[in-house]
Amino acid sequence: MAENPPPLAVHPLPNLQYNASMSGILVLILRILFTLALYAFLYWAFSVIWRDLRGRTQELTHESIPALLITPLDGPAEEVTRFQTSEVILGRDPLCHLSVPDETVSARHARFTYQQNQWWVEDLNSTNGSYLNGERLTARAVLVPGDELRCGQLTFRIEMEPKKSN
Amino acid sequence: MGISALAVTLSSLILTLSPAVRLHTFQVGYRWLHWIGWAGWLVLFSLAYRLLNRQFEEHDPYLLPLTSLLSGWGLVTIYRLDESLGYRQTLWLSVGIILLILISRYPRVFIWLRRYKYLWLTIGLLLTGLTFLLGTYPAGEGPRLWLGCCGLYFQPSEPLKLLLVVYLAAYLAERIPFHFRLPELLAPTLIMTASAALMLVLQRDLGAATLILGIYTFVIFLASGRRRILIISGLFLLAAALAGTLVFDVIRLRIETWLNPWADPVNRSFQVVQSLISVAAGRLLGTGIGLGSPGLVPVAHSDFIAAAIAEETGLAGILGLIALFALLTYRCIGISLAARTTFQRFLSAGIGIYFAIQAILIMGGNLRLLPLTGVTLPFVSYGGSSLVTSFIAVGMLLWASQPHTQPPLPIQQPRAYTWVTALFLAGFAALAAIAGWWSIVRADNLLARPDNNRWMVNLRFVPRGDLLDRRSERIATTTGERGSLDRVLLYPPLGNTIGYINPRFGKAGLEASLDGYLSGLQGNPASRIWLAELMYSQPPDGLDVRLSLDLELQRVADGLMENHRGAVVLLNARSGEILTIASHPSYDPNQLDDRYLEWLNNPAAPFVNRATQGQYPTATIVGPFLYAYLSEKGSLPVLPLNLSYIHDNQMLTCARPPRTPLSLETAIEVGCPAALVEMSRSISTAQMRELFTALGFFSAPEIRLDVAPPSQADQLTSSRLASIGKSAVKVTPLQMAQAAAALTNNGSRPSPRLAVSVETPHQGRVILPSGSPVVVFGNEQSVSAAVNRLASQDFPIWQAVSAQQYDSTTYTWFIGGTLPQWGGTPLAVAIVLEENNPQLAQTIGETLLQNALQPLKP
Repeated sequence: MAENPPPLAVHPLPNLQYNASMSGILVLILRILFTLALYAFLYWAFSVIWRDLRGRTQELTHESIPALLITPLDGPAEEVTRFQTSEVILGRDPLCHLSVPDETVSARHARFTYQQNQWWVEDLNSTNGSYLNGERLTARAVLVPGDELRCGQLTFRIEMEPKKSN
Repeated sequence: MGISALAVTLSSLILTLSPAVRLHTFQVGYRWLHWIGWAGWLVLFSLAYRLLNRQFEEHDPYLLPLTSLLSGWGLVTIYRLDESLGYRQTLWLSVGIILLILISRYPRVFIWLRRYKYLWLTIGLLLTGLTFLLGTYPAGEGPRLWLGCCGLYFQPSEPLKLLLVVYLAAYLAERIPFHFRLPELLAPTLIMTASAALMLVLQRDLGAATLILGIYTFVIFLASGRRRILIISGLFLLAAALAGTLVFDVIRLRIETWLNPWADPVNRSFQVVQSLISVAAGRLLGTGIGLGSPGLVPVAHSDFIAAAIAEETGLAGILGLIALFALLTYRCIGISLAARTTFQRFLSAGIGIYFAIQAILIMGGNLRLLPLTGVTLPFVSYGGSSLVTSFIAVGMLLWASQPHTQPPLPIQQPRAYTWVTALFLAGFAALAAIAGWWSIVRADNLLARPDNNRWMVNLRFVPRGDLLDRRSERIATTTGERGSLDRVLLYPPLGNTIGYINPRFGKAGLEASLDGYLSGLQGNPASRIWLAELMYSQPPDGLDVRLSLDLELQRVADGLMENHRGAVVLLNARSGEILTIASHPSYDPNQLDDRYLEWLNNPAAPFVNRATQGQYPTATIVGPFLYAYLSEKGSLPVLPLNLSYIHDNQMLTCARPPRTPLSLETAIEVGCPAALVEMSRSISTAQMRELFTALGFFSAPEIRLDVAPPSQADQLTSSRLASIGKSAVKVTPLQMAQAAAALTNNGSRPSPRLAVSVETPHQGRVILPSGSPVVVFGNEQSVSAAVNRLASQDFPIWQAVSAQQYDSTTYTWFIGGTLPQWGGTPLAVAIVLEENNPQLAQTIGETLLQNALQPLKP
């Protein structure tokens, strides 16, 4: 018995047919294109949204609101209250942001809001009405530093801190 | 929108062409059916796009493209997995989009929704409650969470989630203008939410219950800005999970399979492990749609669609999918920030939270970031209720994002928004990181797992290498065309050596141990494997492996062994190449599917390869070894007068009468017990142990077959008992054959080998490694002299035969071989029969040696 097995007949190598490898290459290209399309979509969406959202949050974040300073002028000492929220409600109700224990002030009397880079004030249908620099408030009005707001029998001086730069 | 259409069209195109790639030819049946879904998808979304553009000039520009891409991608994937589900999903998609258009056209719906918020939520709860009474499971046995009849089913828990969001938004919109206190806010909403969650828990719909709790927590957090709500809710969820572990089996199961899925990968954590293997199979670029095997994961079309997408589009695809959901969440929060009424603000934030939590829950479950909860992946998974609800939610978002001249409401709790957005983005980032972990870092380990069943698919698509005998005669081959390939054993009597590879029964024998070469994953150049995996998602064609077997001798052995139980091993005493290995009864692997159970229950155990796994007591066959040992020592005894020996009241006899003239040698030749006992007197137990160890009786042969665990040296307690085969030492025919080879081969025992070489494409024939020989008898001359004294008269061979009874069975052994001075190939043979038949054993042995000694025919 021979030690070494006799040589093999030439065994066909498992070769890929020309025709067959084409399908693989074609689909590989399509697969890469699909991935590229997916990421093109994501790139488009993220880039636009990123810019958009950055602008918007800058507008709306806490830090960009200039603080509202309200000083009651009738009290014994001029006590300044500082607000940094975008909304301040003034009224007799103890739940209000600025609560004043005065009979002539309604439970929810007036609202200060910060919008479009300005502080606004509006009357919340109070019984005795609100007066800005002596004029009765009928609609929303823009506030400027030094304005005087009268609610019932109480008068407040309104000031704003300068807007912080971002 | 254009890019989204392009992406979906591309993936449809890939799916159409995928059969050509799988089968490596263009003459195939292409897949066309999903183009119906594609057409439906295109028409519906362009319609929605046109209508919305006309109606509101500046609605949110991202929502439609985003959801169209998600649902289109999902649709193609569902078609790929199951075409009938694809049609249904197309139908549901149309319903969803029509509802979306209607909702955004008639905003009066919202006033309505808002006004009767309690009514709606109660209806939702009642419908969910109704499933207790009338619930069904559309696909057979399972959790009964669906309502409906006549082929139309819906899952009330899906709209319930959206109704809860609407309710919370409406409630908060009423309360927020007044300065609220937390308890006031919590009381009514908590009752509604808790009742919804409780109902879902009772239904074992844990995913939905978690989701509802999550939506509630985050919405209230956005409204109040109290961080402790998040902490309390997180703690509550943890406590609930702990309590649930103790009470509900379902929860315990989910938690356990999450913490350690590897403990029970076949039953309880089958889904998770298969899902991870699927993700790993995708690697970076994926197999391409239609080219992977995501169908191996149970319910791939709904719960595990993320795993299916990961397999077929790779890490690149799953990262894209995660990014799409992150984008959607981001968008919802953006719409919420820009909203002009509180209702719209909480509505859009709530919907964003709903999408985000649901996507994180189910993708996290698929990727083992979180315990598995059975929720759908919004827009992508199969499921009518989920799809329609999601599109209604998109309709609401579109309404909330309508352009308005009024400035957005000031934000009460800007920090809460930052927190929520950051939390969700962190969640998505964690998903992305773990997807990379499984698909890149752990991919090789996962794919190498035995429960990676992709080989079953490759078996049909990739030609497996042939198994050849030493003269290139095919023993096992692959027949048929790509796509319907079949493995055939051309010489069935070799069944329990060659084994099988079968999708139902797994792998065995040489088909299992040589699987790497035969399947093409081993032996091929790495670049070729890489290219084949990249282009076809298949390994390259398998390589042929040449075995040392000689089919002509094998036929002789199998012919003589027919209808007998036992085994034959004939090997080249110098190289260890096994020329013949027969084990009877055998089984035919080609008939495995039909006769598996019959063979499994057959007391003759045809699945056992007796040559390597059958352990037999040595009877009185070790005589030639003791003889050679004592010759070397120069202390051979004198033959006693009585050749029989009484052990334990049992008369042990020679296998047949010895030849004349009677001598120690001729007594050994027929296994006379007295001769062995006499020889054992000169061998101490320790020496006997040493001899048996050198002969290889206490070590497993290094061979690519399952071998029986060898006996231990300490089982040999007395040299006398060992000599007559009454010790606990048992030996397989293969071990006996290699021991016999030591006598033929001048005292040195070769390591047996079956697989000789692999036919590789570039390096030609590569010889496979084998073990090194062991020297049993140091003195070559004394051993060859001893063996020559044992030689028969008729043939130039030595031989020994022995038959002894053990309990109810008698075992007959035969060993033999060529003489040391023989010029041709040195041979050694071992035969065992499970019957008292020294005559047959001797005939088989002599015939085999005679045939083998004849010059080889070319």
